[in-house]
Amino acid sequence: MKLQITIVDDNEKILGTAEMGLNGNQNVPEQPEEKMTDAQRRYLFRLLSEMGIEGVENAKRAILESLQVKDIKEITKSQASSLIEKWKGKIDSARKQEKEG
Amino acid sequence: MEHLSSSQISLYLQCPRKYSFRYIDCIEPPFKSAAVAFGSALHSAVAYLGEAKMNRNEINAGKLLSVFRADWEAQKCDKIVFNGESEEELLSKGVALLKQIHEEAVNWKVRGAEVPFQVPIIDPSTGEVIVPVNIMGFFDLVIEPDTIIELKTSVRKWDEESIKNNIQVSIYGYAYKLLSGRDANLQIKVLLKQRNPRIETYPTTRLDDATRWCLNLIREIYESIEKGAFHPTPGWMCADCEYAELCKRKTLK
Repeated sequence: MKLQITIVDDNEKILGTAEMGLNGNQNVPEQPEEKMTDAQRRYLFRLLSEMGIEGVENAKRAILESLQVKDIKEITKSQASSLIEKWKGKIDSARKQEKEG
Repeated sequence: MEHLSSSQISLYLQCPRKYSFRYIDCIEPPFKSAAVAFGSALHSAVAYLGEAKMNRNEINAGKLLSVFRADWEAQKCDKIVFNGESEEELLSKGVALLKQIHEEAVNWKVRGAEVPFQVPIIDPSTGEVIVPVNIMGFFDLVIEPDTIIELKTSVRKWDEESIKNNIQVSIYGYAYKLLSGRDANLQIKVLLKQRNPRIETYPTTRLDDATRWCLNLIREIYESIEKGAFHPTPGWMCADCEYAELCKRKTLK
C-alpha cells in the first residue's frame, strides 16, 4: 500500500506529488532525463565507423546492445555520454597498442 | 518566451504555421526530408573540419569523407523521405562538395566552428531595447580576419536579393559586432547540389540601415508570435514539409 502526498506552496499551488510506501521509502517524483542529442548520436556513429561498424542498422544494433535498450529514441544523454567515453577509450587503447606493436 | 533563435526567426518567415507546430506545440516531425538530413550531415562534417583546423590537426580528405558518411548514417535513424534524388545521388554530391571544401580550407585560419552566441536585441547606437528577449544562434565558421561563414545547401544559385536580405546572416553580422566591436566580413557559402556540384561564395555586408531593418523585422515577428499569429504559407516548400498533412487537417477543420 502506498500513501500519496501532494506538495503545495503558500498559495496552495501544487508543486508536485510524492508516494510514501509502507516501509517509509519516499519516491520523490523525478524530472525525465534528457534524451541523447543529435551531436551525441553523430559522435557514436563516427566512433563506430572507426571501429569498422558501418551502416545504420549495424550501428543501431551495436548501440542498442551495448546499452541494453530497445529503441534509439529511449537513450538518455548520460547513457550516450558514458558509451562515448567507453568507445573512445577502446579506440585510444587500440591505437596505442598499434603504435607500440 | 525566454529567447529567440536565428533559426526560429527564419522558420517563422518561411511559414508561421510550421513555426507553431515546431516551437509552440513541440510536435516531433514524423519524418525528415532528405534535403534537411543531407544539409545537416554536410554541416556537421564541415564543422568537424573546422574544429580540426582550429586545433591544428590536419585531416585528409578521406577522413573527412568517412565522417560525412557516418553523420549521414546517423541521420538515417530518423525516417528520411526522398523527394526526387536517390540516396546514392545525394551521397556522391556530398562527397564532391566536401572534397572542394577540403581544398578551399587549406588556407583557413579557423577561430571557431559551430560557435554558439546569445546577445540582447538592442539599438546598437542608443542601447534601447528593441525586443525584451535575447537572440541566440550559431556561427557556422569563424575564420581570420573577422570572417563569418554561413553554409547553405541549395539546388540553385542564390540571387542578389536573397543574399542581401538573408535574415540569418544579418543576425550574425549584428551579433558579431556587438560581441567583438568589429564589423564582420560576412560570407554565404552555397553548396550547390547540381549535376556538377560546386561551391559558390557570396561576400556580403550589412550596413547600419540593413541592421536596423533586420532588428525591426525581428520585433515584428516577436510581436506576431506573442499575439499567436500562425497562419500557413502555402507554396513550393509544402512539398517537403514534415507537417504538411497536419497543416492541411488543421486548415480544413
